[in-house]
Amino acid sequence: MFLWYIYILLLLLNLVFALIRWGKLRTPIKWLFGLLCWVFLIEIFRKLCDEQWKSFGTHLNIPIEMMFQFLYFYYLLNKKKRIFLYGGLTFFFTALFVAWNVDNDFFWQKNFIDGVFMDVCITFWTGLFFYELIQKPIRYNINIDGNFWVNCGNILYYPGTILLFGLNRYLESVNPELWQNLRPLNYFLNLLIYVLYLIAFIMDRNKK
Amino acid sequence: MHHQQSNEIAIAILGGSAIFIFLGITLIFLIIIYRRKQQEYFNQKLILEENFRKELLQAQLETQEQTFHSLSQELHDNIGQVLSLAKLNMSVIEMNSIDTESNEMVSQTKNLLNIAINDLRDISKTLNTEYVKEKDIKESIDRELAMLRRTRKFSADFTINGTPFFIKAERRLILYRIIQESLNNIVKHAGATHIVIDMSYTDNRLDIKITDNGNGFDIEKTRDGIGLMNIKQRSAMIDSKFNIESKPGTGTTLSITLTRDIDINAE
Repeated sequence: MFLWYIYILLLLLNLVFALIRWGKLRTPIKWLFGLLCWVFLIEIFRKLCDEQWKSFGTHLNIPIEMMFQFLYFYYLLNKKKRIFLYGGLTFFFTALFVAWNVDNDFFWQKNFIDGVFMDVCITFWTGLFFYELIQKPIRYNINIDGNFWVNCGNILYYPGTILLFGLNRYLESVNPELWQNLRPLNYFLNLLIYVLYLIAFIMDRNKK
Repeated sequence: MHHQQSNEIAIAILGGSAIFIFLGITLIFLIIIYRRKQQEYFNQKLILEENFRKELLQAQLETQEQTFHSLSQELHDNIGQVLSLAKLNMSVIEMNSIDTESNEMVSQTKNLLNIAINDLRDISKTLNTEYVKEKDIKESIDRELAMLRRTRKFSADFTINGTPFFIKAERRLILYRIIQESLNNIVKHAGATHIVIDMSYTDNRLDIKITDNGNGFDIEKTRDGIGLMNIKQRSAMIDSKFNIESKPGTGTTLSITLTRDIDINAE
C-alpha cells in the first residue's frame, strides 16, 4: 500500500517534470508523457473499482500501453527498423487474439499473460535501441539523451517482470500468500522504471 | 506437495527475474563502458591529428618565412645594389652634364630612384624574418601603413590603447603576418579607401581590430579564400581568437584576440 503511494507520487513527478521541460523534450519522449498520463489514469481507476473491473482495467491497460510504446519506438528508431515494430505489434495482437479465442472470459480474468507478450516485444525493441545507440557518432552524449535513461528503465523492468506476469495465475491458485509476498518485486521494478523515466525527463535535451 | 511446488515456482520467478535484471544491468554497463572507451580513443586520435596539423602548419610557415627571408636578402643585396649603382651613375652624369634640361631630367630620375630604393628597403624589411622579430609590433605596423599611405590610394589610422606587454618573437612574427595578410586582402579585394587599426592592451590580452570602409561581403555566402585561410591557420598557431564581421556595403572588421598568459614566463 505504502509502495503504491510512492509509485503514484513518482508518476506525478514524472508528469510535472515532463510539462516543465516540454519544450526541450524530443518527440519520442513526448509520447512517453502520453503513456504516463494513461498509466496514471488507469492506476486511479484500478484503485477505485472492484476486483473484476480491476482485471478488466489491467487487460485494457496493456494493449494501450503497448500502443504508446509502439509510438515511442516508432519515433525513436531508425525508419529501417520499423519492420520490427510492425512485427512486434502483429505478434502481440495475434497472441492476444489467440488467448481470447482459447478463453472468452480472458479480459475479465485476473492474469497478466498479455503483459508477458508486451514484455517480450518491448524488450526486443529496447535491444534495437541499444544496438542503434552503440553505432551513433562518438561525439553523441548519452547523458543528455533521455531515451538512454528510458531504455535503461525498459531493459530492467520488462524482462524483469516476464516470469512474474507469466506464472502469477498459477502461483496465486496454489499459494496466494506466497504470491502476495512476491508482489513487492513488481512494485520495486515499477519504482525503478519511473525513477529512470524521471531522470530521462530531467536530462533530455532536444538539440535543434 | 502443493506447498513445495509453489516454493519451487517462487524460486524460479525470483531467480529468473534476478538473472534478467542482472543481464539488463550488465548490458547497460557494457554500453556505458564501450562508449567511454570509444570516446577516449576518439579524443586521443583528435589530439594526435591536431598535433600533426600544427606541426605541418609550423613546417609550412617556416618554409614560407625562409622564402620571405631569401627574397628580402635578394631584394636588398641584388636589386637594391643595382638601383644604388644606377643612382650613383646618375649623379656622375649630373655632374658632367652642362645641359640644364638634361640635368633636370637626371635630377627627376634620381628622385625616382630614391623612391624605388626606399620602397624596396621597406619591402625588404617587412619580408625579413629577423628584422620583424627584432622590432616591436607597433613599428612593423607603422612601416606597413606608411607603405600603403605612400600609394595615395589609402588613408590609415593606427591607435594603441593600454600598456603594451611583451609578446614572444615567434608569436609576434605570426601576428604581424596575420596583419600583413589582412591588409593585403583589403588592398586586393575590399575596394576600400580608409583603414583603421586599433590595438587595445589589457592586463592579460591584446585585442586588435582592423576595419576598412570597403565593399564588405556576405560571410555566409562567401567561401574562404587562400588569404583568409592563411589568417585562420596562423591564428590557430598562436592560440589567438580570430573573428570577421562584414556585410555587403558596410566594410569589414577583422578582430584578433591574443591572450597574454603563454608569454608571461618568456618575459
